[in-house]
Amino acid sequence: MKGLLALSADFIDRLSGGAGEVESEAYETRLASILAADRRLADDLVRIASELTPEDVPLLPRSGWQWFCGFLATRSTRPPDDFLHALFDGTTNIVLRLRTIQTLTTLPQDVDGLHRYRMEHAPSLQTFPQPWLRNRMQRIVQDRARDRVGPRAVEQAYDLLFLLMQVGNEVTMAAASVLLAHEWAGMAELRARVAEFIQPLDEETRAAWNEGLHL
Amino acid sequence: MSIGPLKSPIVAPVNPRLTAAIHAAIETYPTGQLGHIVASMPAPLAIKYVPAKYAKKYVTGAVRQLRISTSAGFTWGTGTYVSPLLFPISTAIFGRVGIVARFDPTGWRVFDGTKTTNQKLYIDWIRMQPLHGSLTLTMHSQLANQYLRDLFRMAHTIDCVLFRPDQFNATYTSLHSDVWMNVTDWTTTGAIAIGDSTRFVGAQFTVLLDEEFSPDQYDIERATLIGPISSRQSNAIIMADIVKAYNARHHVAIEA
Repeated sequence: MKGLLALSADFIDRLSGGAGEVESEAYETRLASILAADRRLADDLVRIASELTPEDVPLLPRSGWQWFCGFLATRSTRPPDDFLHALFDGTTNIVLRLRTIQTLTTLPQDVDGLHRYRMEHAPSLQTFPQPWLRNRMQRIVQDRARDRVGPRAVEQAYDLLFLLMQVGNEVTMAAASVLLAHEWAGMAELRARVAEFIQPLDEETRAAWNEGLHL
Repeated sequence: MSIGPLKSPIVAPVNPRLTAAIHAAIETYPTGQLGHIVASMPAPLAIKYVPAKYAKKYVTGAVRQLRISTSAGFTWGTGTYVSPLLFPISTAIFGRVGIVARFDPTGWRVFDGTKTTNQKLYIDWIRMQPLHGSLTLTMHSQLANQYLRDLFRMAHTIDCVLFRPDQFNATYTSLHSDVWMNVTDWTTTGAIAIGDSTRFVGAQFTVLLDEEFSPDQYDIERATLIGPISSRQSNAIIMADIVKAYNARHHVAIEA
């Protein structure tokens, strides 16, 4: 089935703007008529998405994956977490990383999961309800040999933290809070770097960030 | 209709006074410019021009909905781009086939991006973003712009942005008086939806324009390739003809 996605790569590239805005609009119209003519196509695409593995990242251009994830979101689903880890790790483009995190935090199950979690748990990194974010954060801080948690881990934590703050929805702000509250070797440095961002802001904004991040 | 409180709004802080100013600037229809525009039309109608090459499905009636634009190059992010029918040929520079659709703006939260004070609010808001520096300096500026404008609209639950054309042809488009719209479809969690727009209904092939346009190098200006052949009628007359054709399920031809 995944071969269908590869065959569609050029179509999805043009749909997602690879050949300009006018072409993208035209492909949206073409897609609408194709979906109307083949009622099973959307379900097939959802099924294909559920089978994606990290090795499948090259099947589509990055902007194509961004469109595809948006399409899946309209059906309240997304590709598996390990695929999304590979998609996230495979680019340094900040917007595509932000979009990937949006994909992971805006489905009804993500928001409902956070709301249920807040009623039952004291927030912590170990129990954070969004599995992709939980695994990502745990990977960064989990090294128990403190002397091995060096600048690279803090850098990764800092990068992820600011992406979470930038996405700025309920789920990502909750994740940012638990990452900042977690006790690990890089905790002090991470908090110091966040303070560097917050300190120059005006008093009201500073207070809002401190409250939003539970600092 | 506005869909009401959303489940997962953007909660990342910016200056509370700026947030209050943005909320104060957002007008709820019928207040504001969209109210005036709709009041100047026989009904809330919008038009979108599509290249003939891709318009067949509208002409045959196989497609009756407008699609949400997802390409990063659009001015105000992801959404459905149209012009109110009050400006009936303003967007004709994008294609020969005019698709007319109805919309119900009741309760829409409208950000009037034609006002310089509101433009400044947006610029102040992006300055407060945690990754403002990286998003401003990236070479992928279209992606960054799309991301920020989507986020701004999500953060303030903006159903519709009004803005001036930033592509034009002197005969068809007035940079100082025409208004274009980007209308948001929402998911249940407050993200911006893609696919068929539910905001516009009854999309129907209604205009056939006798003109072709050619974009300049950066697609800022679109030059006419055939006309002008005849003198241009007023927007009011063209709009009246289009409304009549739409209601009769016919189409009207507009000379180059």
